[in-house]
Amino acid sequence: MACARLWSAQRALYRLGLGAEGVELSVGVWGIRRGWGLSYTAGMETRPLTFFGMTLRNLYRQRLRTSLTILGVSVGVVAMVAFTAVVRGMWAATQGSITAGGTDLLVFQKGVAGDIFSSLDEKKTEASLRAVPGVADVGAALTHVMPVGGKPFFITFGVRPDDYSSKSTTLIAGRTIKADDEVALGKLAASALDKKVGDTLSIWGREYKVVGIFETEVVFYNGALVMNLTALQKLTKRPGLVTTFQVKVAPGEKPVEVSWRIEKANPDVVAIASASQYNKVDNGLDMIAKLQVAVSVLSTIVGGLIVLNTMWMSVHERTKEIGVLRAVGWSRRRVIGMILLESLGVGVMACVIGTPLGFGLANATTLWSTTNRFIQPVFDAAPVLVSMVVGVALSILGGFAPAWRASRISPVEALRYE
Amino acid sequence: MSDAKNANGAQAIRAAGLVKRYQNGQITALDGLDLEVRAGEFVAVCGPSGCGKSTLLNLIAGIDRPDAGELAVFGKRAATLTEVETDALRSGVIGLVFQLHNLLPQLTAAENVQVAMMPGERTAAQRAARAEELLTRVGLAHRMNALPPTLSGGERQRVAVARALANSPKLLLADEPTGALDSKTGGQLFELLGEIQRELGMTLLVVTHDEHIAARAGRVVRILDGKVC
Ligand SMILES: Nc1ncnc2c1ncn2[C@@H]1O[C@H](COP(=O)(O)OP(=O)(O)OP(=O)(O)O)[C@@H](O)[C@H]1O
Ligand SMILES: [Mg+2]
Repeated sequence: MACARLWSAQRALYRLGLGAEGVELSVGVWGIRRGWGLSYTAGMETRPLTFFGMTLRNLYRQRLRTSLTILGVSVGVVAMVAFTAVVRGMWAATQGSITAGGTDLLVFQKGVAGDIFSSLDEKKTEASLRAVPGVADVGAALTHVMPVGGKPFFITFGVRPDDYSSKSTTLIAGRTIKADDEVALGKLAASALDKKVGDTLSIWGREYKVVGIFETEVVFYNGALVMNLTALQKLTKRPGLVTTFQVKVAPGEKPVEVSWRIEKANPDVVAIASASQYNKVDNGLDMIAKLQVAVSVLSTIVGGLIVLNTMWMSVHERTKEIGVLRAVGWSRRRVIGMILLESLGVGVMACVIGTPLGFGLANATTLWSTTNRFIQPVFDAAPVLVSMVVGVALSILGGFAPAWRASRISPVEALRYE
Repeated sequence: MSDAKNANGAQAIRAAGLVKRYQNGQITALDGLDLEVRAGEFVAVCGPSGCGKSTLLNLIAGIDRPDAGELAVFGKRAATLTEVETDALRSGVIGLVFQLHNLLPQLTAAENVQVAMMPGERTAAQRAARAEELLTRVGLAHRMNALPPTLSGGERQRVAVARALANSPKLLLADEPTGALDSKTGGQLFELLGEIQRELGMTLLVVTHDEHIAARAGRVVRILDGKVC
């Protein structure tokens, strides 16, 4: 099966005019200067030139232009790889935030433009949630984003120490908060603020004592600050209000079904069971995902156009050479094969360079304490592979018009002008 | 010296009433040309500039197509050949040498010869071995790895001859191969072509301006205004 497929691939190469040598990919890495793609045959003074080697030579001949083209195409690959990793990371963090600490559902106010704008009556809403069949436990949180310790965006959660959700937090140092002037920090927050247990932290002129450092699998929890709900309500002048309720459903209950019941019983709220439902309260994730698609599509189209432009120019410059090749018996197909293989070379190189750069760029967000508290990129093989395939495919696509043009070159015309 | 001993009587080229016009018929390059060349013959084609010599060669090589008249190369009628067939003709039966060497500048002498063999069935190593053989035959054993810009005009033209011979053609067409060379170098190249032609018993059709050179050919065909005169 695999063998037959390989065979038909070889046949396809043959049809493209690449011949058997299209598969003779014996590239001498160090033979770059002289021998590109050649296997040195003992006892001979010259080296065999393969079709593949000739293609590489053509690319190498215009190395500056080739490099710039590769760079241009790799920008698309970098953007795709990095952006995808970031969006995947945000998705994973959102999913994690819903299910962290044994939570099954998050409840927000209905009809708000973003999760932090949600505002629910602490007592009333909690009572209505507890009355819904299938709800086992409820925790409350007030979310506030404010500048802390010189960091412009600091996620602060006000929580009730006795809630199940507070108790399930894993501490890596100190203890849980009790009094109103105590705070706990996520491990990323602690390092961003350079605080440890026992230090004091000044927020809006008030002093708070750091009593604990915690760690979760949700990146933006690790970058957050936690204080007593009543303290944050006071600080933000939102007495009796919370942003969200965490809901734990009873054993045997399906979270989605409970979420329907909650929304039916309380028409002012939305209940979210998974990241894909998060757009009920916040479009941010959706928008970023759409932006990612737009950026990927645009950058790959630009990459394809760059290849088109370069190869078009290259074919134009080589009109005479291509005419000579046609005159010595090269078929149109073989000429097309040569130009497409050159385009493919550009695409492959762009992926080889762009993919690690994309990884690097996405990972760079974890080095910077302003971004690492929000973004934890997730690298999956599938989207990276897609980026690479798209990069290569667009390069070849960009090579089609130039290849067609090259195949139209008549040897008569080419040989006429000097 | 006679080419008759090489001739087996078969026809290499037969043209009758060949017409080729350019620019929507405004220019008549060939105007009813008749020509017969037997296999194994060495023919020189002479004539003033613009009389249609290159045009004739292009038609024989299948690079261009006649507008009227009959043309057969080794019995194959040009009019009936598809493009794939004319490509195959040039990568097998016909070898071409141009007025200017037309080598690919980024490839060495040996690689330029190999390129012409790529459409064939030889492996890369076989192509390289044959290229070495041919370059040695044309006296360039010491310059096989040289890039064309570093070769002299005569050397380049000899590389071009080696390239034209790469696929063991039955018919070698050379369009003023000595045009860009001084008379001494040109004479040597012609000598070489003649020798190879005799060795391989191939048919050789050479376009030239030079009467001295033409005199070495087995037969001289003169063209004037697109006709044999
Ligand atoms: N592609 C073309 N387009 C227009 N006119 C052409 C074309 N090819 C040839 N001609 C014209 O046809 C005539 C014959 O040209 P050709 O090149 O065959 O002459 P030639 O005998 O080879 O001349 P020379 O000795 O200068 O090479 C000339 O008048 C030339 O201008
Ligand atoms: Mg001419």
